[in-house]
Amino acid sequence: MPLAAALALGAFAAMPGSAFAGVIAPDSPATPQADASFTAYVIFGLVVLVIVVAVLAALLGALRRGSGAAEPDHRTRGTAGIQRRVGMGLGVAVLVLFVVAVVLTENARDVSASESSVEPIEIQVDGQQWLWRYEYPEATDTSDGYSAETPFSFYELVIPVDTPIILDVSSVDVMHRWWVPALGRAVDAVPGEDNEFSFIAEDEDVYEGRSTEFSGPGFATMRTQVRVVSAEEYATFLEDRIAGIDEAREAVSEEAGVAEAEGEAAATEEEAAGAAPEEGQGE
Amino acid sequence: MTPPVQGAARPEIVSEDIPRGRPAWIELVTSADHKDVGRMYIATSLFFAAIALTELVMMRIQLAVPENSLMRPEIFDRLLSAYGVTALLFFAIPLAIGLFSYVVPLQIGARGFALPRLHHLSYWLYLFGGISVYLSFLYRPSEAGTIALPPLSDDAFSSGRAVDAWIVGVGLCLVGFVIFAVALIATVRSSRAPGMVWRRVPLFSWAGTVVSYTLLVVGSIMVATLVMLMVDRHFDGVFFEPGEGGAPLLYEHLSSIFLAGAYISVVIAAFGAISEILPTFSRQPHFGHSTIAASFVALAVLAVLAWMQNMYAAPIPIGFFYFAMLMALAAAIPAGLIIFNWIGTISGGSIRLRAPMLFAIGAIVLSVYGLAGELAQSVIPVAWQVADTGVAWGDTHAALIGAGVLGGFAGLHYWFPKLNGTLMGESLARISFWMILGGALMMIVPMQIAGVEGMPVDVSKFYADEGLGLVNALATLGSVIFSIGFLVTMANAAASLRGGTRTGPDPWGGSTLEWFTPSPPPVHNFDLVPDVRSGEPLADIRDAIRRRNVRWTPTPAVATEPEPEPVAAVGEDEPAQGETDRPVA
Repeated sequence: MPLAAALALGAFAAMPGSAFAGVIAPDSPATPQADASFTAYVIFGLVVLVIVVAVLAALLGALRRGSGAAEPDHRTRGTAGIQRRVGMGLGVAVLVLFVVAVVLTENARDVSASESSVEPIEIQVDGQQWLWRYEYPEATDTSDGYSAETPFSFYELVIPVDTPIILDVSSVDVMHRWWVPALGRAVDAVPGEDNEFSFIAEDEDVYEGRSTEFSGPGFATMRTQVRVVSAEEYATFLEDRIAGIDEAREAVSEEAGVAEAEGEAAATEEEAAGAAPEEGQGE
Repeated sequence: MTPPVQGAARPEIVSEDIPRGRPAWIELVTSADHKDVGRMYIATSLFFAAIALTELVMMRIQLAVPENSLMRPEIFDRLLSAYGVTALLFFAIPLAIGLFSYVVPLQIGARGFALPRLHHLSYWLYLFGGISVYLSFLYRPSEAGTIALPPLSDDAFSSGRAVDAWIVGVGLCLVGFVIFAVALIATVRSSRAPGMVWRRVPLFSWAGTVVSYTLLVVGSIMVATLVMLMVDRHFDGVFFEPGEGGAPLLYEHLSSIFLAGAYISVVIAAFGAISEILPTFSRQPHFGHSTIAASFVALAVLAVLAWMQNMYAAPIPIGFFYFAMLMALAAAIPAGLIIFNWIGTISGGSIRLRAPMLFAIGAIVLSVYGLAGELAQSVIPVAWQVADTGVAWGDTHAALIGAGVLGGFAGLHYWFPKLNGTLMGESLARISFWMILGGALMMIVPMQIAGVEGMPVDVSKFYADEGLGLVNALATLGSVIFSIGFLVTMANAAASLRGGTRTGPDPWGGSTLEWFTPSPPPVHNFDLVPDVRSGEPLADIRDAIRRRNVRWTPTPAVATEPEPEPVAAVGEDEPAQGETDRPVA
């Protein structure tokens, strides 16, 4: 019996999680990691179902058998042998579940460098009350990997398809959690610590996500979106971001210059206005 | 003349200068008798339960429709922050402590708590802890969430006195629990009846002992954690300050240890009560007394060691997660053994589905549903998908409502005759039971469906484009039905205090020593504590009486020789004090 259960579990573990998507699992998985997570989700969902049904059936059976019985005066007790056998059976079941869980966890973990020939892209993800900031590596690599014109975006993360993505998730204020179910695991954003998560998105699409770590009054609004695009679109996106940042910087500089000039003019007028009454008083 | 004879001094009754008795309520609140302290714990826990239910329903009403603007997010967060500690620390654990306080000394044949003043002090610390948290509603309560995780609860993000009141309130309450634990452990270790070795200690008392050791450990840890948080907030401490050598993760570890211990304490307390009720209402002895007792210990140890199962998204090496997962999965072994032995106990018995039994069965069903879900969530990739979503919320609430509410009420209905000398109303109990069970399931299942769709816990609103309007509306309706069912039991208890059917010392035919003494028991509990020779001392006494009555049957008139004097059989108990007053099952 334990062997049959182990074989059944193994068969389920071998099936892709996407086979169950839309039935009792959440969004369709879009990465191999998410696929493994969904498979685990389904297997252990069935385990829960079996446990609940088995206990209910046993309980109802015992109640039904007992409800019409005469006053029993015997003192039957579970012998040590029965207890030991049940305990060992449960122990074996737990061991099987543990092994299955470890295998699924290894599949659902980060991608290794050997899984793709494409150079991975490392993106800094910072949670802050109550939005996400994504900081991309600059297209032209510099010595430290980032430059003064590092492109960034808020709310929406754009990544290329079929490319290993490494997210360095952190927080600049309180704890948050980055979670896009279709891409894989949830990642805590802890202030002062980098929490790394890597994955490869296999389909061009838009995926919704949200924080699930309570972070204050705006917590319910802390959502995010991941747009998976082609490599060309990704390059264009970065160029647009850099261009946009340059434009914004210039606009800010111009505004600052105008403001400075206006400030100087206003100060001169004030000085002039301040001097006039004195002259008047002198009269 | 004959001198008058000096007679012997006669006794006199002097009625002058004797102070009048104090009002009953003053006697109650100043009494260190374990029964009075237990009653105060139970009454206060039910009062706080009413507050928690109000908060729950208010939060659910806010979530009844998408993008509801009925309540500002800050108000929702205040209710959320108070609800968590009220439901767990001010209701579920104190209700268990109240029952332990009242019943354990009676079960083990003790005349009271070994440290009665400490026991009494523990209640007042708990009460003032609860009051401290709620007094903050007069100015501004905490908005830092269920467990006040820093940095959100640090001074930088939660200035003012709001979080301070929360810390002081929770800290006082926990110090009270730790003191209770010390007093109960001392009692069970030092005051057991003659012959009551550990293998004969009733399972509810076993549960009380295991819960006490658990609270002693995790309660102390959380008190120290709260002190560190206070130091961070007001004395330039850096325990949890990121960037200054501190680590917010440290708080998460310590609070998770506490939550794991508190959670399993509620479950074990309910399991202890269920383990007393099932044999009584199926007229069977325990199928495996020692196995259940050992399983309580194993469950507490494994559940606390699995504290990291709630932290799988944190930046921690995977090896630690595997350890937590193994501990959590291993907890299924003692839990499974307990359930197996319960089923073995009632199987083939003469089942009486009275109110305590009904609540016990409901508690098993809902607890198993919740604990099986927790088992699945202990698997790392599953938790990555459902942690802190409606799925996790549903499992936790199923286990805690199953254990804390249905299990607690099973115990309340079972021992109410002992507390008050009257039975609780059976009809109201059945109405309450079905409303609680049905309402809880109507609240939990839709929330789990919402969780599968990605709805997090603790949010003050959800969006219309998520398509979760119907399930949230159902969950709100379920919370209202659940709350009304809960209030029916409270009303039933209040009505039965004066108007319930009066009963004798042993209305259910129990097998443990609390049913040996009158209901309610005298101050000193027992005039005479019998020797204990098995795990079911009252069943032994009944057997002895039955054997004696058989032996005393008059012989037929044809007998030619006089009947010899009956000789006590070897090993038979001496007739116990007051035994003729006891009903014989």
